[in-house]
Amino acid sequence: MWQYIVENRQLYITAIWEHVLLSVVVIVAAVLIGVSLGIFSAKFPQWSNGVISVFTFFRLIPSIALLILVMPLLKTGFVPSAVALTVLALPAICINTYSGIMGVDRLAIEAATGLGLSKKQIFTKVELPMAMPMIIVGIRAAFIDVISSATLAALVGAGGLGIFIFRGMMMNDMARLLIGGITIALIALLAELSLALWQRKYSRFI
Amino acid sequence: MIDYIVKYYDQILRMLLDHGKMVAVSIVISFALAFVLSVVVRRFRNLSGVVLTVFVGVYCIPSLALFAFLIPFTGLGQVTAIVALVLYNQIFLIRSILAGFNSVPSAAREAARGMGIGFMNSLLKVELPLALPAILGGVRVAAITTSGITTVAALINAGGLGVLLFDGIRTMNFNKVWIGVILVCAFTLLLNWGLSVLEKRSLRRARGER
Repeated sequence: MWQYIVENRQLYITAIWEHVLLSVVVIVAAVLIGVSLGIFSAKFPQWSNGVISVFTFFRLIPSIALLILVMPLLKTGFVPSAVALTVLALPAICINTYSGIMGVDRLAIEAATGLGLSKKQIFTKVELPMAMPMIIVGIRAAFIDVISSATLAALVGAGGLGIFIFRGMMMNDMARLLIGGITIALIALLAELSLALWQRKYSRFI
Repeated sequence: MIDYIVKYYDQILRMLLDHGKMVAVSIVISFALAFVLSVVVRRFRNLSGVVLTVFVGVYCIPSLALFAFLIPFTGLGQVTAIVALVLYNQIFLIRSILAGFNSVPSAAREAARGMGIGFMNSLLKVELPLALPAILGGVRVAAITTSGITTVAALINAGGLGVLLFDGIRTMNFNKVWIGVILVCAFTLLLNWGLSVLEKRSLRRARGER
């Protein structure tokens, strides 16, 4: 197995790079959009019902269905997979951001108002840090989902380590398969651990 | 597209039933295993970290890779899929069973003890109804994830609705693909709705409103 990696080093590294790039791009986009939408629906309750219902609906669609759904619109490749996976990650992040901000202790906000903080300061110094653990939980779940689904994205032309798994299955080549699978698992575990540590850092406040 | 459904409705029905069967069997087995593991973890508190970390690790393994690891041992087909699904569901179910039983107010437990209700009776009639909402919430999440992964399991000869998707892509028959996507989404929505109804009923029961 090691021999295989050494022989096909270039392909392996390219695949890792594609996979990680796809996951990171998707998560960054999903965090930017999702957190903004979450904050928006928390601050404007009249929109919250609509936004949350739409996202709860989207959460139910399996990743493979999303990847396939974008095919007629955007063909195959990196961009369509990125779009599909962003839609996959958005609901979890948005819903968790909303819950996080709504779950902030009202007493803390009252105390902050009493101390004379402006609304903006209350948001950045009190609400956001207190909502962070919940937000990070959402990002964790979404990230793991994205990394796993990026494996399937190999089916629609996005490259990545899924290629190793699919080719391994087709050619009955256990070595290739194991390399692909173990690498993805390690990447996912790394992401999970780092986000867990980040979450713990923020949980000091609670 | 409609004529496709009419023409092949028996095959589509069989795939739907296969899919449903795999989800149902996986959930039942996962729940049994998760229940046993939760009891063990409650008894030996130190194990909680280890058990949860192990299953988080299992969840991180991409579905196709886990299927592939299992194929040499359990062959192609539904058995492999079910084993993998059971492993994936553990993290959700163990967490929610533990959370459910932890959320039972100790006052209720002590009151039951004070009334002379035995251990098994107290477990079934006092703790379980109070823990049920959280447990059913976990079952719902597990069922939805299971349904999604079962779709992928079509790649390893397990049948199910994924067959429509992958065959359709391979033969460029987009009718098939659309039907597959719609059925998968409809199935998941139905599953979610049904389990939400159960969850809400158990919540009302736990709060004493029924």
